[in-house]
Amino acid sequence: MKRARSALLFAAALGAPLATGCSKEDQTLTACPELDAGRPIDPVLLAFLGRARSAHHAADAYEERGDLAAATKTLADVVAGPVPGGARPPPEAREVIADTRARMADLESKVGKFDEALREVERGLERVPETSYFRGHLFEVRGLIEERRQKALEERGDRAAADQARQRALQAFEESMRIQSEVIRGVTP
Amino acid sequence: MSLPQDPLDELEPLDPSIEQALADALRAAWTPGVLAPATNERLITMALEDPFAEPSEQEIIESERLRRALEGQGGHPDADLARALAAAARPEPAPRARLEPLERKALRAKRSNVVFVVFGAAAAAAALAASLMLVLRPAEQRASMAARAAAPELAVSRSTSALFSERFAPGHATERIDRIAAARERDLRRNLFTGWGVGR
Repeated sequence: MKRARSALLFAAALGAPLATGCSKEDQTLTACPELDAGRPIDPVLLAFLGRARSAHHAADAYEERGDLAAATKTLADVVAGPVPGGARPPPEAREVIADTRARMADLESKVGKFDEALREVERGLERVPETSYFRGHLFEVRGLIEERRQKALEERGDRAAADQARQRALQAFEESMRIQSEVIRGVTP
Repeated sequence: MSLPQDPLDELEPLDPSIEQALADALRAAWTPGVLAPATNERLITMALEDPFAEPSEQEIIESERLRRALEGQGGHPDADLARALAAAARPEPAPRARLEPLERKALRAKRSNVVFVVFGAAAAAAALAASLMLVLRPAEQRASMAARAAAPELAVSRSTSALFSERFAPGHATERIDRIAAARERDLRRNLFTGWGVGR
């Protein structure tokens, strides 16, 4: 009965975005301002957020006992699972996915999976093309990944590759700082 | 909840303690306070019970019954509750012919601000407000109510950036998702109340 009631309440609201100008054929997973605007918060979004929240708490528990693989797997289930809006997730879902991918990237780089980690960062950036803390954080994580790669290369004695990794880390950190500055300027009166 | 044919003939000033309890219930319906976090979590959990599941046959039948009841065909317990909550939030003005005898009774009882109500014995606090209700209030407050009723607003999906005023620190992703989920839970609750006609 509760589901039926909720469905009645939100049926019209959920149907409304289909009349907007965003192409349904365009399957990119980024922002669609026309859909983002005016779509009421509904139980499906809350279910997704609840699932993501549970996954992050579970990942905390796995991290505490040192099982980084299990933590990453738990978070991967969130980004691979059903997302409200399908190919056009609402801003909250895109941002949570981006932040979840940032955490996955951080975890993977801690166990030496640098390339996999950078792929997660790239996927996260696709979700948050706008200037935001989320985007800035992803660049920060990219810098951390390259920094860890640099140390791993130095330990192997590959100084030239380590220098390149250091350079990439610096570029990523600078981009992160630039984005964060823009965000701060945007919210400061 | 069934009303007598002519409730005005049976109305008497309420016992002060009952009147106070009723006033508290109406005030709570009109200006709800903040829920305890544990109660809030429990309500959200109940409301979000497996939202991806298909409705059961029984749920479809019940929703159809509710729809018909809200359209005036037959009865349904939830329809009474929905009307009760709507009446609490946006009471219909009583006809003048019914107001005058009530006012005379109130003046005879030397009370300046009286609430009359007829209600079923088993009605819950929120459902109390479904009954015949007269609330004496300033005209400007009524105008404000009408303006709010005319433009119910739903909280819409939007970026969560406004929830954060500081740079994201590595290792705090769980805190961020906690903050996002809590904010949108509040939005959803407000939308549901608005959808039920009791939004503020």
